[in-house]
Amino acid sequence: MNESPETPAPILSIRDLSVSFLGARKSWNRVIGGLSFDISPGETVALVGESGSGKSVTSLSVMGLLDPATSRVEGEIRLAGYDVLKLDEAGMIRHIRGQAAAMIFQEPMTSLHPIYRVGDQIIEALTSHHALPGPEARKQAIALLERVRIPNAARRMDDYPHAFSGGMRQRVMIAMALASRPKLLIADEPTTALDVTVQGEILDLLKDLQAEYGMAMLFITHDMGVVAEMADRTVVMLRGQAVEQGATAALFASPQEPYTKALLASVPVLGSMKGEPSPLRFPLVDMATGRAGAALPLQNSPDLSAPILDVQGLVTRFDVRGGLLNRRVAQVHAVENVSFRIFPGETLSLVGESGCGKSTTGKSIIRLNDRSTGAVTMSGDELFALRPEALRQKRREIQMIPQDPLASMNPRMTVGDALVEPFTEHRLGTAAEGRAKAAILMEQVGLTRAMLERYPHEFSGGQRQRVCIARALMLDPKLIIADESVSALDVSVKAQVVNLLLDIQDRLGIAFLFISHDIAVVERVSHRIAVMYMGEIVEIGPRPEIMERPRHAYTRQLIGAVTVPDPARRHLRRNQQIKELKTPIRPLDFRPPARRYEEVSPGHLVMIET
Amino acid sequence: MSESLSLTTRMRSRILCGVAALALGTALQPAFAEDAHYGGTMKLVAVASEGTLDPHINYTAKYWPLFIWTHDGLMAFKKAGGAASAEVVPDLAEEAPVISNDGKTYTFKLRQGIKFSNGKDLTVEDVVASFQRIFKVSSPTSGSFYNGIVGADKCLADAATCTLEGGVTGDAATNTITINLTAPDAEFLYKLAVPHAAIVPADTVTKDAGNEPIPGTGTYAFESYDPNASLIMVRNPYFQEWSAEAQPKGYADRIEYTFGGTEEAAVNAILNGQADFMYEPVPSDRLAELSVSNPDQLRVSPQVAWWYAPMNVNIAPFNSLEARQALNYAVDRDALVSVFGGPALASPVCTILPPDMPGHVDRCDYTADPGEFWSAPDMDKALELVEASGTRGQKVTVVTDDSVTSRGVGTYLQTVLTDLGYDATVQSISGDIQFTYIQNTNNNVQISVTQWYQDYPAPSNFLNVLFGCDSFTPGSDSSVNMSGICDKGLDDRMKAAMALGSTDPEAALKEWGDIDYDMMKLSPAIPMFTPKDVDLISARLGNYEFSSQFHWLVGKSWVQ
Amino acid sequence: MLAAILSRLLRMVVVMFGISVITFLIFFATPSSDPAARIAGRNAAQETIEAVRKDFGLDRPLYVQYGLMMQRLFISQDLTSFANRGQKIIPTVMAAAPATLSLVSGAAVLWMLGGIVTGITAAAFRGRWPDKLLMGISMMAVAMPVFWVGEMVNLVTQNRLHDTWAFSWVPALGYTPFSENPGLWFRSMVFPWLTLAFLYIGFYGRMLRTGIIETYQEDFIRTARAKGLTGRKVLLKHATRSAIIPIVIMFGMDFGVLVGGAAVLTEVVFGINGVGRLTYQALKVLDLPMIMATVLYASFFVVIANAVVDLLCLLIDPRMRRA
Repeated sequence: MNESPETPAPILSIRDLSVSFLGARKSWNRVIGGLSFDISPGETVALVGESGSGKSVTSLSVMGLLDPATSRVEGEIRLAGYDVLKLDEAGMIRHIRGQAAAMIFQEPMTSLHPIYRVGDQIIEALTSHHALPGPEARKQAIALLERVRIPNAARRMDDYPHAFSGGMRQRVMIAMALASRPKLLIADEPTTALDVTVQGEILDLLKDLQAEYGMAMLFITHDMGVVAEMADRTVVMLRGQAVEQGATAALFASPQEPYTKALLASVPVLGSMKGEPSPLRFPLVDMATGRAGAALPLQNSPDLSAPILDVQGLVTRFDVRGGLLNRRVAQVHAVENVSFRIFPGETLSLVGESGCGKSTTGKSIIRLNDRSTGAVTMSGDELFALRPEALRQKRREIQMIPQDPLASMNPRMTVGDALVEPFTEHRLGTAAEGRAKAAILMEQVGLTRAMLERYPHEFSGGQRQRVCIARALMLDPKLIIADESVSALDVSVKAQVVNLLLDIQDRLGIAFLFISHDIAVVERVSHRIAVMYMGEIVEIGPRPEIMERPRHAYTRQLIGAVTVPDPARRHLRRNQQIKELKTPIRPLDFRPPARRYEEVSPGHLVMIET
Repeated sequence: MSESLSLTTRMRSRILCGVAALALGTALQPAFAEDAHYGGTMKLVAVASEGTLDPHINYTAKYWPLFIWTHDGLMAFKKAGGAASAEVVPDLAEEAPVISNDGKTYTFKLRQGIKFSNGKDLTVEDVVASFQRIFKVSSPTSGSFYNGIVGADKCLADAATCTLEGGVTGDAATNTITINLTAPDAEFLYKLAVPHAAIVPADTVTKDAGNEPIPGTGTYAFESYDPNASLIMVRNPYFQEWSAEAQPKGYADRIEYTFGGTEEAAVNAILNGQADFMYEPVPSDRLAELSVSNPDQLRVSPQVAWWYAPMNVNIAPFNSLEARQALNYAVDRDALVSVFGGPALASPVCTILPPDMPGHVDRCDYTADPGEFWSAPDMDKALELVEASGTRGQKVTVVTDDSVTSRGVGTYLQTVLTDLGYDATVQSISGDIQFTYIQNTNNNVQISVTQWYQDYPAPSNFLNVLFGCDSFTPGSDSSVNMSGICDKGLDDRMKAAMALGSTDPEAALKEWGDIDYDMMKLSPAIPMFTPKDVDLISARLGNYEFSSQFHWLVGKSWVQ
Repeated sequence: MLAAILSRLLRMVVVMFGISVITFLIFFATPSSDPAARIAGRNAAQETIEAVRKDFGLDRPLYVQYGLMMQRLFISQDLTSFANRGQKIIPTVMAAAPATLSLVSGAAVLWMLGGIVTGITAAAFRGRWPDKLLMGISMMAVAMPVFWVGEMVNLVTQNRLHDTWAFSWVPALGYTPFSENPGLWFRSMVFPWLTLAFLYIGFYGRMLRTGIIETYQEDFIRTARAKGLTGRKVLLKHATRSAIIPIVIMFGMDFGVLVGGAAVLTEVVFGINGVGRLTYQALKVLDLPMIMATVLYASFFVVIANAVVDLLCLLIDPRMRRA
């Protein structure tokens, strides 16, 4: 929507909002202070900022969803004429929720009640404010599902949420939010948890519905690409305060505040690698000035003489059990006939959407599951043939950096102990030698020796990921499997951690299997890229080939769906076909078809579509 | 003999601290048949039932006091309270038997006109068949009470074809029964007076009758039995009183024994008038309270029994006589009496034969001041003996059962053993396992805590059974000589004393007293104390009488 | 469906076979458990013991003894007790079952109702006095041994206040079959029900409260609130229904175990001669046939309860219906 020439009365007006949470030892910690902004009818305002900046807290305050026992909200929130902070839980506030403003959330997988049919949940939203006879409510619910473009809406009314994919669930959430025709739709990171192609669909849908319903939207996101595509105006938040706000196009074109500049400069932009032959570090951004430095390329290139890892015909299948019998009824072909090689000093990225088998491939290689067949050769040893003790030794050479570093660390162990434990376990030296090595590595990953005495919860997200990297390096691995290792990090931190990984590779010649759905990051770090779809590699080749000359339809779709922080795309419509992401569940007697690949250029193989 | 598995359980967990003033009250007037008291229902409660209703098999203190009212033997213990209860009187026999052939042949004349509760007449065939049945159903005492009958050896070897030929014969014409023994047995009449020698109809099944009542000749007959619920006794419709001392007519019309609940609940039921008698001992906490609030409902009676600690003479350290004697010197019986509940409920003992057992002589060596009675422990002497034995510092485990009292006694023994310089521990085992566990030599038990109650008033019942060579069977769960002592000289003297009993009972009793004294010189066990019986009865229950043989005489009490 | 039932049955047979073998072996591995010596009686002569051993087939190899016992338990159904050779096992267990079933079923109704009301109320008033009061009481309920509670109840109803107007209606302890006298059956069961239920109300109430409070952290609760539903609807329809699933699972197991004999303490303290007491008595006197029968009976109910719980969960939670 364009801004109207004369400004009508805002639908939402926030004045001097401050929010405090009850912390440890009964002290109140202020998380938002002095925040003010307005949203006019029909307008879309984006709240952007990194984690902890107070975006979500702002939206929950508007809906009155913060727990009054543990939070204190001050200032003024006027929503469609109501003074929200003066309403009480038992009475009027209920009428604001769903009617004046409705909300959709980041996690579509958990935001629907798992044990009620989706139709009933929508009907509940329809009837929570207005009495409706049953058949009429059902008719309206079906209409809503159709509105959000869910195929076979009438039939799917009686399905339970688990029968829907993430994108479809988010559509259900949107349908529910629309039930009472709200004047304001609050979308809190609505596409963050979704795959890129699905994200595109949802963004399209929201744009369409906004036009159709004439709603205002408060769009909360950390993704500058999404902001550029969705928002009329943008409010940049940092530590609970708005550092800058203005029309999106102007803000992107000439950011005023250093933080805004830094934020924009840190965002990995798809296509920025055009013409670069090898991976490139992110430019370092000075957070004080917001100015970006030079992006340094890698000094060394991969040693292509002999592969460090050779995977041939890897197959991983999981049993699906069902019925009261709990018998095997089908199989998930999680990984189907996957072959690739990685050379010393090389980064191969596995990209694809959730459920495509990229993580399973990583786990199967180091035999974290026993469901795999095929041949995995690691510097001459056939991993699948190794006895447990030999395998344990071999695992030392392959280390993993997980997506969630906190979950992978023992909360009752100091970081120092966690680092030294595998070192002494593998008898690589004494505990004292381990300590010394850990201290050196901590500094190499940008932390300090003193931090070895800390516990995992005392670190920030980015620091934890650095600890995980240090832990992986303790055993002098030859290959590191980085499974979505930077996906959960804020943009500025993400850039730093990626640079750290590239530094390590440049210095130690370690090979990386980089598993990610974040194509913009993949483009930066990879020598080669393999695209996976439903358990199979559909295309594999050198990074410039894949990114600039994708051949397979799916690769094109994947790259096309990536958002780009360019306000010119404000009115973009992808017009993709709405589909549910298929999962490779096959009957027990299914025989996978024999696939053939065409080599379109040296090393660039594309699956021939049948 | 022991009265059973469960008489021992009766005495468990009985602690009564500081209730010295508990009324010793059997002082009611002796009964004289007052018609007004006949009738009504007597209600008995117990936590659990206690096995088969077959009088030839059941060997429990819970049912023996019932069987004497439903079944008769040729002889019977006199159904009277006090000392008279140890007398044996003719029951189904018209009079005391004629004993001939140097005490090996007993001739009984069977009473006429007696009917079983199924209406059939009692005949000599029934008597003969009953004796055969003892062996056919492998009665627990068939090998120990009745093995002296001619032909018993064959019956024990092959029960199915048992005839006792030449052993028990009946003559229907003269209505006499003749029993021939292989050797004189002064205790034989006692053995005929216990329920295992009950006379049942000749056509009774020759296997355990289980829950099916077997007809008897007593004043009552079993009406129904569900081990998980109740046992009902009603009047035997064919009963006519023939001897008031052997089988008097019972007062209550009906006796109901119900099973289940807890001791606590049983106490409440009696206080509420919902029950008249409980089998289990009153819980110690309630006993203290009841001795103040309801003293007139408590009855305390002496028993012929002892708590003792057998010491295994075959393994270290108690294979040393000095070590065994040291412990006997060191144990403070007064301390043990207070563990059991105080002087009102037990008295110290120093001999194997309990004070009320014929033959008992008050003599005590293992005390600070040797003489007639135990006075105080002699630790100096004990420590000297341990030193002499060279067993100081060895490991000793005291095996007790899991009742509070037994564990308390065990813990006390542990402290004494520790004071003597041993490395002592206590091991508690579930009550029903402990009794067989401590018998089996495979378990290498060094010292244990257990009890023994008389089956009939004869000294051999304690001395010969508990310390005789015949009772020691290595590797068997049935080896009641837990000390494992087998002293040839003493064993021969015991056999001689038993033989002497049939010709000169007085001399025999004196010899038993000497054997007791000499056995204690070998110190195979520590005599600790003799326990008393405490019964809680309802307020309406009248004419309580306590037999040293069968405890409370249910048929002689009235409820109206 | 038929296949599913058959498969369940098969699994049940396997489980029960395993349990019976283990019971059998443990029995014979117990020191001084020689059944022949036990059956023969105290201080029996060695000849008598041998005669009994032969008579009972205890001199035969263990697997033959096991086979015979199973044959007599399941096929000829004339297995008799070791403690009382004339007592048939199966009729005894069957006679004891209704008492236990009465006790546990009645208590189950009470504790499910009580537990749910307690849990929901406490969760609704989280942190305020009704919550603190209810949780205090349930903590007590959980902490107090059921045996002791039963004794206390008896002390009040059977002893101290038995003759007052308040408790004079309480009959003497014991079980009266429903078929015999429904009124008396009910009156005699009231306090056993309450006593047994008290403990479980404590358990279930606490668990449900925690479950509901945890559920309140779920995203879908936020969704429900954002929809503008009333607080009551969010609590009852959205939070409680999710939180109740583990309660149902627990209920099934508890019910099965209790019917199978785990209510022994309540049974004993109230003089209800049910399966639990039967098991306890059998264990006390090492009566192998009775132990075997009651253990198998218990495992049967646990397996059945498991199956019922699975079905219930399918009804409540559609996620489990996934093929």
